[in-house]
Amino acid sequence: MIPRETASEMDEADLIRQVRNGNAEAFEHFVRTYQRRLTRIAYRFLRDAAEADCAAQESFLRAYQNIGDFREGSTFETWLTRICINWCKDRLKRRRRVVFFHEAPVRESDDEADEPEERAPAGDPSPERRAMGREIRERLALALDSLSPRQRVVFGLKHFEEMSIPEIAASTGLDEGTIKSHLFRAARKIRERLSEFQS
Amino acid sequence: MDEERNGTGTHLSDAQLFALAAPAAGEPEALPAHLSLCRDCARALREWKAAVGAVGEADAGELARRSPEEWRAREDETLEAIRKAGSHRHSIPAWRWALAAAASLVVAVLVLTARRTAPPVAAVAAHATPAVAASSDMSAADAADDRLLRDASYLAGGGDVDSGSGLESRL
Repeated sequence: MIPRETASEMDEADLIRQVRNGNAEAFEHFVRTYQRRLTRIAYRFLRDAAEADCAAQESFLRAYQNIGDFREGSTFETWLTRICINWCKDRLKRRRRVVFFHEAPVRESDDEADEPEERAPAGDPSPERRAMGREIRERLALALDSLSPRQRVVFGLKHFEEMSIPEIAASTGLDEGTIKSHLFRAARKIRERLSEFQS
Repeated sequence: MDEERNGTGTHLSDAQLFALAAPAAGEPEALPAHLSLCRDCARALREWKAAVGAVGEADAGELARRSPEEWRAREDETLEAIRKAGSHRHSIPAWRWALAAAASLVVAVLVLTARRTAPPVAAVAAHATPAVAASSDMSAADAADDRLLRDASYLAGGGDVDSGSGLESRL
């Protein structure tokens, strides 16, 4: 998980003003701060690392070229994320795959099964505990597969990227009630699957 | 995970542990009292919280395995693209101003040149209108004379007899 930037040490509003005045170098802060996170968000939609890289770079370019449209008072990160998610949606439409809304998610080549042992929580590296952690991860990964693509994306943004519900709403253009509904249904579905596994 | 792990009561199920590890509404749910009594369930909850993070990493595919250097390289690519876009963006206004100035200059030169070479419109009208009016009323002989005079005037102005005036044959 990428740690969220809290209150930035640099004054982003001031940097934005500098970019607007033609100082392209002032934009570096935003790229260094947000590219990694933006790429991961794009990946949740596109399920393709190369395309996610492209989405992030294009989003930064669009943000840079349209920096005059950014309204001070909103957060740059949310604005940038929205640009990126819109790019991803356009990409999905062009692909005619529409993964986000209709199709089953494309699974990577069993990445979950290859998860290294160090993913287990530190502090108790006993074989028993590692096995327990691995078992839980496998069950959770299987349960996640039962989600619709949209539920999975919203769930991923909330729990894996640690975005708040208002942030997800602002970035996706969905209202908060819809986001909560997706999260609730996703959690219910996962719990049902987990209960099935347990029984 | 077993429903009953020890004698301290009913253990939390996987579904309950998951709900605590990843609260649906986004707000942490109240922890059941059982967790403070049962070490197994408390440990299991820690495992579930860790599992949510680990599955999230796994769900990020190959991005989760990228090194900081690889991320840095991609950031550099983005910055390079932005620098190019920036230089392009700033060259456009200068280019447009230069084009607009050049176009204005060309138009001004053309207008001035045309004014110097072309006869005044009123003068052309004064000469052309009677000739046109006369030509419609002229007899065949007068028309032939008229053509001859025009050709003579044309030659006096430096024209060429081969240019199709018909003067040579008529002479």
